[in-house]
Amino acid sequence: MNTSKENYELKMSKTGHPIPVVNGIHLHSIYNPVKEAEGVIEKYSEAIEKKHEYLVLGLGLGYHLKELVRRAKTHHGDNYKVLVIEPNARCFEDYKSHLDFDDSNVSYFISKTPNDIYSTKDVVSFLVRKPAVISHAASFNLHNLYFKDVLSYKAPKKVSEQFHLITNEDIRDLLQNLDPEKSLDDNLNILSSKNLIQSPEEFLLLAYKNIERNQQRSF
Amino acid sequence: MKNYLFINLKRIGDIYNMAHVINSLTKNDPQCRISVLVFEESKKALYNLKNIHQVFTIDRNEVLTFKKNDLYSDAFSLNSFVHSLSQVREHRWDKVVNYSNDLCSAYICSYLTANDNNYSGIRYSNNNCVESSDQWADILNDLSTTFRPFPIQFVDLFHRMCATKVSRPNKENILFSEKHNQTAKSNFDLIRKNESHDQEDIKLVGIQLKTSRVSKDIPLKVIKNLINLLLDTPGRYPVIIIAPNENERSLAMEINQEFSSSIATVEADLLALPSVLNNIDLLVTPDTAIKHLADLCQTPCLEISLGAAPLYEQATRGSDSYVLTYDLWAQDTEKDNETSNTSVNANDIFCCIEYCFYHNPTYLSSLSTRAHLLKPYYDSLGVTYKIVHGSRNYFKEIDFLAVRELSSYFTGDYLYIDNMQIKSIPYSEVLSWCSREKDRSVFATRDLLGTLRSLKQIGDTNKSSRDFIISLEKLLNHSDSDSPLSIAFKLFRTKIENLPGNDFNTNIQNIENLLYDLKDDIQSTLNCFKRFEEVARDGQREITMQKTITKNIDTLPL
Repeated sequence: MNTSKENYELKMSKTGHPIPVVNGIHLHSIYNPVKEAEGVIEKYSEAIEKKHEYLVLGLGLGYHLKELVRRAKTHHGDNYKVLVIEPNARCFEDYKSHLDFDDSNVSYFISKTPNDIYSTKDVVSFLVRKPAVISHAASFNLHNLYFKDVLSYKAPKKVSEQFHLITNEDIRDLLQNLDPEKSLDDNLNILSSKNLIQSPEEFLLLAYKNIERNQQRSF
Repeated sequence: MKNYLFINLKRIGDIYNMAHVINSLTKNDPQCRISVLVFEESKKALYNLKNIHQVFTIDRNEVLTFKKNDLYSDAFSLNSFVHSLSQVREHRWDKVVNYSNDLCSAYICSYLTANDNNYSGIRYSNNNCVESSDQWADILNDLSTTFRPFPIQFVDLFHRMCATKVSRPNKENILFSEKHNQTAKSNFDLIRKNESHDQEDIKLVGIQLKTSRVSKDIPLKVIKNLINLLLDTPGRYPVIIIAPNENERSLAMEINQEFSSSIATVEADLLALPSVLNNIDLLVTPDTAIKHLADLCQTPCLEISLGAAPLYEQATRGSDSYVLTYDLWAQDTEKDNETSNTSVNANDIFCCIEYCFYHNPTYLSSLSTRAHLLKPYYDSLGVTYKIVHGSRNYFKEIDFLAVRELSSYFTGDYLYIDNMQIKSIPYSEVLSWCSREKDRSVFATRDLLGTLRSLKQIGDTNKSSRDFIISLEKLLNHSDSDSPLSIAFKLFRTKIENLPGNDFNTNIQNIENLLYDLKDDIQSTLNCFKRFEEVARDGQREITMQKTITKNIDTLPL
C-alpha cells in the first residue's frame, strides 16, 4: 500500500513518548500513550486469556502491542503468537527505532497488499487457527479502507492466478493443461467427466474433489 | 516382510473395527508391517492399537477450512491435501487396502497403486470406472448395500480380501497405559469393596450413554430405570461411562441427580478406556465406537442395537457378548427416522444382563414380545448371529445362510456354511423355501434364455436391437429382489455397468460371455439350494433316528 503521500510527523507526548501524527491525526494519546495502551488492551483481556494467538490491526508506535505481549506472557508464558498488520512503513521504522522492544513471537506485515498477506502460507495458517483480533482504533480508522480490504478480501478463483501458490509441480503442470482460466472446482469437474485418467496426479485431484463426500459406502 | 497400507477415512468406530483385520494379518504373518492413513480427527483411536507401525493423516479440517473460506486461495487447501498424500506415496506398499470404501479413498487407492494391482477393495481404473480387487470387494460394494440386512460382517469381508484367516480378538493387541491401569484398578476395587456388603461377588456393569444418532441411543428414562433395577439387585453395581465432553458430562449429571449423586461416573478418553473396560464385568452399550473397543479388549458386552445400527454388518463380535434388539425381522436401517426407540425397556436390558452373567434361560422368559437376543458365533466365513431368544423367521434365516454361502461360492472360496444352522430349521420349512426359490429361478432362467436369443438376433434390424435392450432390462429386474437368487443377478449387473466402452462387436461379445457366466451362476445357486435341502433332510433323519433310539431305550426292560 502506498502511504508516501501521507503527511507524517513524530511528536512527543506529555510523558515524553514519541507519537506519530498522520494527516493531522494523532495515533496515540498526546498525554500518556502507555496508560492509554493499558486501557485499550484491558478491553480485550478475556480474549487474551482464552486464546494465545492474536492478530493486531494497526501498529502505530506499538504501545498497545507491548502491553498485549506483557499480558500474553503472564497467561501463556512463551506460548503465544502475534501477527501485526500495518500499512504505514514509516510507523514501523519509527517503532523499531524508538521502542525498545524485540520479541521473536511477534511477526509483522508492513505495507503489504491484501493479496500479499493472503498469499503467505504462514499468515494463512495463522489465520485459519482463528486468532483473537485486536484493532488499534486510531490506526484502523485512519486506514479504514485498507483494513476493510484486508478483512473482506476474496482470494482469486482462477487457477492461473493461483499457480504461484501451488507447491507441487506435477499438480501445477496438470492444472495448466486443463483450463487455467477457470476455477479449481470447474477444473475438477472437467477432470471427473474424463473417460481416460492419464496420470496418478489426476487420481489425486479427484480424491481431493471428493474429500467432503466421504461417507458413501458404495458406488 | 510385507508392507500394508490401510486407508480408513471413516470414524473412530470404523477404525477399531479395522483393527480386527490388522490383528489377524499380524497374527498370521508376524513379520508384516502395517501403516494406516486416517483423517487427523480420528488419529486418537490409533493410540490403543498395538500392531500399527506408522500413521499418516490428512487434516480434513484444514483442507476444508481453506477450501470454504473466501479469504484463502484454494491452492492452500490443495497443497495441504497433496502434501499429506505425497508423503504416503514415497513408500513402497505391497498392498493398499481401501477399508473405508468411499469415493475419496477409492481415488487415493488409485493414486497409490496406479502402476500396479496391489490393492484390496475398490479403486478407480484408468477409464474412470469402479474397479474391484476381487469378488469379495464386489460383494462389499454391490451386495452389502442392496441386501438389508446384509448377513456378513464388513470385517469378515476385508479378511477375505486380504486373504487372511479370521482370528479371535485378543487383548494382547491393545496398548494399555500402566498409569491408567493402576488408577482404574484401584478405583474399581474400591467400588467393589464398598458395595460388597456380605462378602458377595460384585459385578460391575458399565453403561455407555450416547451414540452419534438419537435413534440408536438408549432413551434416558430407560437408563434411569435400568440403574434402579441394578441398584435393587444385590451383587450388581452400575457405572456410567462417559467421554470427556460437556454433552455427556451434563447427561451423566442429570442421571445422577435422580440417585443423589451416588452413581460412579467414569470419564475416560480413548487412551484410558481400555483400562476402564478391563476392570468392569459387562458393558451395556448402544452401537458406539466403545463397543468395538470392548470387543478388541475382550470385555463382554450387551449391545442394545436400535435404529440405524447395522446389526448383522457390524454388531459386537465378542465371544461372550450378546445383542438385544427389537423387531429383528422388520429392521430397515435405511429408513432411520431419527426418533428415539420406544420398544426398548429397562426390564428387558436387565434380564439380558442377568442372562449374560449366568446363561440361565429363565431370565429371558419375561422379555417383551418384540425383543430378540442374539449371540455372535464364528462359522467358516467369520461372525454371524444366532437367535437365543425371540420369534423365528425361518425363511429369512435361510435367506441369510444362503447369502453367506452363495457369496463365498461366487468369490471362488467355496466356504460351506455351518450345517448345524440349517439343521436347526424344520425340514418342511427348508423344503418350502427351496420350492419358492426354484420357482423364481425358473422365471429367471426363462428371461435369461430370452435375452440370449435376442442377443443372437442383433444386427438384423433396429427392432432386434430394441428387443435385446428390453430383454436385458427385464433380466436385470431380477437383481432388484431380496432373494438369494438375486446375488448372481446383482453381480451380473455390476459387470455389465462396468464394461469398458468398446466397439459394438466387442461389447456384444462381452455381454454374451457374461450371460453365459450368469447361466452357470444360476445353476450354482440351484446347487446351493439343493445342498440346503439335503442337509435339512439329513437333519430330519437324525431327529427321527434319535427319537427311535430314545423310544427303544424307553421300551427296554430294566
